Amino acid sequence: MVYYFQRTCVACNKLYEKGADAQMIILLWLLLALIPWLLGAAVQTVIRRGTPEVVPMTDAWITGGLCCVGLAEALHLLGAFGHLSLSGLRMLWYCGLAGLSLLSLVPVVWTWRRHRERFRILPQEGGSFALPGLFLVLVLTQAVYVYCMPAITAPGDITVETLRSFQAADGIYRVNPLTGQAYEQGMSMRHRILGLPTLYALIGACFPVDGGVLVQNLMPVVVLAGAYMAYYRLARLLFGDHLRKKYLLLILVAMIFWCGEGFPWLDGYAALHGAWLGTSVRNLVLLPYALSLGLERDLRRTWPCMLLCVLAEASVCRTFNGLGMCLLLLAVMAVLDKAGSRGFCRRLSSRIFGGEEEP
Amino acid sequence: MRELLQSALYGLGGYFQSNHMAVLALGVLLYFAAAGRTSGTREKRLLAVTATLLAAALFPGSAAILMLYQTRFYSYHWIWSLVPVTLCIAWGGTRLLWELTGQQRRDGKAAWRLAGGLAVLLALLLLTGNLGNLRSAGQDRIPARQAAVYLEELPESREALLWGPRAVLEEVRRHTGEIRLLYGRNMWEPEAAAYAYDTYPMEQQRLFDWMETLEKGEAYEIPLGLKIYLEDVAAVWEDGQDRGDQVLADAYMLQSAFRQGSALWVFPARVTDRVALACGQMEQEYGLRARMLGETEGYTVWACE
Repeated sequence: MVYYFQRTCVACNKLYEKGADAQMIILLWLLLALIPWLLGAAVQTVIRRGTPEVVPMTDAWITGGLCCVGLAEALHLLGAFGHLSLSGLRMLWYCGLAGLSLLSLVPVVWTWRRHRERFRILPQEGGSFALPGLFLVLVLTQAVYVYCMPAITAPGDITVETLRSFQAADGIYRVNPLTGQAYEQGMSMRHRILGLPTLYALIGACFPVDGGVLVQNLMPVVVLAGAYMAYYRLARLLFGDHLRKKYLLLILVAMIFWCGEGFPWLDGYAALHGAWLGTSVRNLVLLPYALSLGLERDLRRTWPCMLLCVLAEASVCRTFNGLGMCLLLLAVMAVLDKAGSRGFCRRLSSRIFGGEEEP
Repeated sequence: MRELLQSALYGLGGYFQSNHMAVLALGVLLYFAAAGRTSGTREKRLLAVTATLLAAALFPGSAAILMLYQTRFYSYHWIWSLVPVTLCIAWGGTRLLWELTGQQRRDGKAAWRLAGGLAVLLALLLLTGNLGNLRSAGQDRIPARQAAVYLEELPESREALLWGPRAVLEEVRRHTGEIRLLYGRNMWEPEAAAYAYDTYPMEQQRLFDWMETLEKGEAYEIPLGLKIYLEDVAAVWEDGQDRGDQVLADAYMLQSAFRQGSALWVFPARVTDRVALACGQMEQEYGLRARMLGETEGYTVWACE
């Protein structure tokens, strides 16, 4: 514990020495929280138009985050195949975000003025402070750990090198990130279209933050927050308005993250050691979010978010021609639903899980 | 497909060695299936999808199909991403804690019972999980990081290709995109080599092998290919021969690095004498002059012209 405390102090010092301007960091956090929420709130408002449903903050933030990934991916493709410079892409990024934010303000302000109660920022149910407090402590320790500890080398990860090469060459994949020299035989097309390094480069271009610190210390906190939002959404679906059970589920998720962090394919590793990786974004945010959308069983309302999920995975993770895990998960759930609606399967299900046969 | 089936067959053991949390998920599934205590439709659907995906990941045939779907870029363990193990354990744990600790009873001791239950569950998670100490494992990288910072300040580093031990090369590219390397991490890390089609010529692979020999010292046996090559080109480095032969071989490798375009070199500090001897020999033999630019903790930096 003392060792970790010492390391945390050293890491904090290093952050300070690296010139990470505190005010800019605060502004960065504010924008990382606000812009995705605004975009997502607008999308959710449009999707849920004509219904009195609440737009929870978690749903809005994740949806908005996926929109930001989509915008970065579009710019990445422009840079990789249209040969636009990184500084040109940065201008487009600013304009794109500003335009989308202004556009999002219209439905959000419109709905806010008419039905203010539809935008829920915090859970409104009462309850003791013990479980939320314990959850908060666990999450804060994880956030501090991820934010302050020196980064590790994830096997096969070249995100930081790629970001540095983008910045040095002022363009997308103009040089091999691992050597800084021009490609001789080129690179895999499937890898070339992955836009996550460009997203980091664009976020880093807006703020005077060292690229390595941004990728390996700041962004993991954002991904961790996204993961807890996705799990909170699942908890809401499974336990309804029962606030204590929802917090208990989140506490257990946090405990699982702490206890299973030894290997790259475990969720704990993804959350605490390599949250900037595409596979971590998929395992921590996209898959739980896709699962929650599948559990909702309301295709008419959830399909835009499902589509966003699948596209976001194809943008951040190497997949089978874009058919990633999210699509497979949603397909499996759809097949199970279809099978479950048949008489034999319904009887089998009621026999296994007990209770009345569902109509 | 046969290869995938074999990976699926043997990968399962490897996965269970890395953690046993899947057993907890299986326990949750079995408990709720046996007790028949799932109440909501969504809970049933969650259990059904978890059971299906767990079975798909466990059985080699379906696991091989999943591996084919996820592409060969990933190994067997990654198909477990699809199984919602974390959610299943967290949901099952919540339900069990709630029921077994009697949270419905308002006798003033519910919170204590819940705390006890949480402690037991934490112990279970610690037993089945896998705690690593990964962050502190990077402490031995500090000298390489310092070398990277030093190199960034050198004007020579903007023009010449850098050649050095693998730790330094890794840290340099992580630290700055301005310094170009003779070869990168894809030389020794197969996962990193999967991103590009570029390969390295044999001369650069020999330089890498030689640098490894230099870095790891006496304990590391020189690769046979390099040994035979050096015997051929420099007629040296057989057991029992005198030290002068090694100097000739070292000088040959240094000039080879220069011919490949690298004029900025980093060597471990403990072989400074050996490098100095080789540089002297290189000047005599090949007319190339190398000088030491400076040193950092554990490394020396040289430039050749």
